[in-house]
Amino acid sequence: MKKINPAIYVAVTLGVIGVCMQPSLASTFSEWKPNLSEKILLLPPQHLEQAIDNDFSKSLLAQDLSDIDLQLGNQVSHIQSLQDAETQYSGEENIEIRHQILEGKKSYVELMGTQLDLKRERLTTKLNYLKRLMNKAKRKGARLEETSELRALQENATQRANAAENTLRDDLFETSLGEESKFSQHYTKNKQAIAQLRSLIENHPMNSQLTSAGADSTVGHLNNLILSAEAELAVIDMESEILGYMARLLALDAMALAEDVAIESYGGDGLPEPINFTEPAEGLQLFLN
Amino acid sequence: MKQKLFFILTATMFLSGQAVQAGSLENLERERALTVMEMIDGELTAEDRWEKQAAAKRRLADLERIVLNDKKLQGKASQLVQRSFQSFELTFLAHASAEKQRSMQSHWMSEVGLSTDELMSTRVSR
Repeated sequence: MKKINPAIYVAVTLGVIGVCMQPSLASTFSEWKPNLSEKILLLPPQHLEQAIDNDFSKSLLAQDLSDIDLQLGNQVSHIQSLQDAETQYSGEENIEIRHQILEGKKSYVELMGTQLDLKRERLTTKLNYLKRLMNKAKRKGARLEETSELRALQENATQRANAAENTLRDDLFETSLGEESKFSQHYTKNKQAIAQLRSLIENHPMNSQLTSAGADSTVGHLNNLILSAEAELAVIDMESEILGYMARLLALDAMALAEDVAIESYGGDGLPEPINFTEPAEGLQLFLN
Repeated sequence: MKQKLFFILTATMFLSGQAVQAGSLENLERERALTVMEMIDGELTAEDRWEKQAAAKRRLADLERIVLNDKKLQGKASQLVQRSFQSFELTFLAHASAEKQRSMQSHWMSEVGLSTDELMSTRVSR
């Protein structure tokens, strides 16, 4: 029976332990920089998150996350098939399978760590973006409050002018010195078109769902989104802790495997006791031959 | 000396080259001032005044419509915009006079306190 070189297993074991003790190897991430205009605040609140998620799905970070999901799925099925086969073999083959399971688990822990880091990156970016939007929405709300009186005046003026429009047109027609001005012709035509379109919009069944909310409800919705992102980050922290325990368990498994390999290599007796040559009596054999 | 002159000329050319674009409200204000000047111009005959006022009313009506539909003015909290919309009667002369079913001239005069009753109630004093 071919002896397994214990040095190789010790090196592998130390490698596994070393990897497991690291929090994560994922350090070079692709980023997600939200590329949305300020007009996103004009969207109805329920479409705000959808727009942010759509923007994320176009980023490299989203691509990396889905790649890792795929790899994790493959890794899990690989480990499961190895675990199924483990009981069918004994001796050296069994140790080889156990070694491969450990390698698979090591890759799984690494991938999972990377995935958690990517998720954390996504959530942190989303959170920062939502906080920026929140500040903008608050500023906009304050500005709207400042100009609300003026807006009311402007609306009132428009209403009064619209009501007097027909009388004015009749007056102008009566005192006509020439043709109606070009602007006046276009104005009447465009005004009618706008009125028709407005009434169509108001009566559209989707209009009630899509009506843009005021600044207050936008701020409230953004607040909910921020809370939800923070809760997701807390879940990620807990998942990191679970992964830490997995890594510790893997390190212990690796140590157990190293010990089994040593026992197997030396015919079930384990490693021989090291000879201490610092005492003269231990080196006696050298002189007797 | 020559250098100084060259610099002044260059600066003048640069500044005059930049287009100065008045807003819709400023254009309305200018036209309104001209109309009021025509209203109180003592040298005009009644017929001339009527013709000029009719032409002015047409121009004012267009300018007022432009102001009322100007999106740039919506929520613009400048003093000029605020005051203009606060006094609808005097800013939008064409529309306000049509609303009151009066001529533009009598509408303006009554708004600034130059109605017959008010003039009759004044007294001469030193």
